[in-house]
Amino acid sequence: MRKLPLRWTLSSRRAAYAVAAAALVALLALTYLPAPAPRALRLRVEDLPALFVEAAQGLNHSLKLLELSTRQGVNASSHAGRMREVALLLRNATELGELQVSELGQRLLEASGNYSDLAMAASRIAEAAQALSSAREQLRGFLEGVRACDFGRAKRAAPALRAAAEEALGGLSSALQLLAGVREEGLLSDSHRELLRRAESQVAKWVKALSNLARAAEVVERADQAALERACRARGSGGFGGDVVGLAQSLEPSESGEFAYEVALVKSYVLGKQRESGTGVGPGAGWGEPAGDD
Amino acid sequence: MRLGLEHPEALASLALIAAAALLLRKSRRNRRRLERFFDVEVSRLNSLMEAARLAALALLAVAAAMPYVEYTARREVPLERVGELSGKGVLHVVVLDVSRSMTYPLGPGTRFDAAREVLKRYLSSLPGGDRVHLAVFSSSARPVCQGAPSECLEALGRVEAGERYTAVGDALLYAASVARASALAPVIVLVSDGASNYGSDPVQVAEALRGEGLPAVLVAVGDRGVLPRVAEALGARLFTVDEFTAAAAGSLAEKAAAEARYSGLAARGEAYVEEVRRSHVPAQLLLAAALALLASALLDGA
Repeated sequence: MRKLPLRWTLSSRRAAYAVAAAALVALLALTYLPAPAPRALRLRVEDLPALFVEAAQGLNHSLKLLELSTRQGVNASSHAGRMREVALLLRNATELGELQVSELGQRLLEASGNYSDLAMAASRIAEAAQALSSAREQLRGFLEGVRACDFGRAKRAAPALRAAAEEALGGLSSALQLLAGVREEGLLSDSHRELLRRAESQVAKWVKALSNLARAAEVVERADQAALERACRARGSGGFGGDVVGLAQSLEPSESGEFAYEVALVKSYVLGKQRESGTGVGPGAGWGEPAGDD
Repeated sequence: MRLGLEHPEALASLALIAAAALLLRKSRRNRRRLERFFDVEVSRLNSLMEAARLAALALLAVAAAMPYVEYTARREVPLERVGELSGKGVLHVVVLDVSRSMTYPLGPGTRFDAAREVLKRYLSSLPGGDRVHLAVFSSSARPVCQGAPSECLEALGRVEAGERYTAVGDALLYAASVARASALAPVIVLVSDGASNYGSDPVQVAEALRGEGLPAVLVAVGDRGVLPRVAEALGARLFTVDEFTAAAAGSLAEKAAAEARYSGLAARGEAYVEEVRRSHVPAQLLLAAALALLASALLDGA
């Protein structure tokens, strides 16, 4: 029996297999790789309403990120980047000649400037959230240190926390300025106007809270550790310098948001009257006469 | 545990592979006829390679559908994310000092006013699934309300201070007896100025309770008195309400409630959440097997 060479008969089949395999690998790539987010590359008039909505939703999302930033980690960098992109696209809407010619076009043009500011404010807020999120460990160390009279820990955390708080404050102050410049009547829906008011109020609260937190961190940084510990454990008098006392006097716990208790504690340690620890245990039923009945 | 596919639509490509298999079968039949006709023999190894290639393609198609295994995993929750545990009920055994010293001035009101304000905010911040046992104490402790936080919020509004003696130790013993009998994870919340002058020694009671692993949170109002030492003996967190921190009652109450809920759940080993996770290891294994099979079949010199 003769044996036939098979190489020539199989070459076309192997090519078919290779094509099929390539097609399946392409299918795999399609299913495994995440789809990239759609990006508006060049601005067209019909893109404007979608960008307005994106700017408003982006601002809402930035506010949520800000609230979560100190409690759990957030990754706000890509959101900040996208909002900056949206702001620039809307800022460039003035170059669209077709907007100049109609009343609707004029209205959209004016709205573009307002929504551009909303988007830029959203970007700044997201950057602030990122800065706070990155300093979460230092924040926790500082707050727990203040609560537990562990001022070694609080002092170690204070410089990095202050730097992060000041960075976030810069972003939020800039966002607040942008939001203040937005004309409510230039926004296209009631829900967007409501969002603007909420954003202004929320960002203003955070600015006050972070400003107090940064000052409290500065008090702890500057004050003598032993004096703070004595005041916290109620075993001695203050002994704080005039600069520290002045700084502590400027603290406003009621404006410190979620850090209010710790800011108040720092103020109390520096300015509070000496607490008496005492034994606190008086003689009572079964083991002697009580000294007083209060 | 459950098996599933992220992209079941990718399985449609199996139809093409099935069609290829049918064609292959048909060509094999033709080949046998030719072999018989020309009296030749084609290597049988070739059929095996064909089958391997088809199997590799089929595996690739299944891998493209991204099979996964779904399973339930337990994740421990840290204190700062205690909000994730809001679905788990906790019993807050709150013992509030109503002795005469609580009527002493503190800021614009009295110590009792400040304590009540903090407790109001504390109760308001609790999830609806939590339960509260609110008791007041002076020379002895007595219950005021048992039920949902909102019910005890109303009862708290009717409580007044001004009674004789402060029995902090006895109040702790009372709270511990309620906590021990609880089916829910309990936590003791003691609110007082710490001017203990009656009943059991609070530090000794605290030391005994620590051995039992009963979690507690203390709130010192005005002077702290014996409370720092009681907190140390109990291993409990101490919050302070003074003329400065009274202005931060909301933040203080929120933190005290978070600490109380967390320590209560952690003491019962319930500070975790169960989450459904997906593992794509099956898809990765299929992919690796398919690629290995395909490479060996395509690189074969047949």
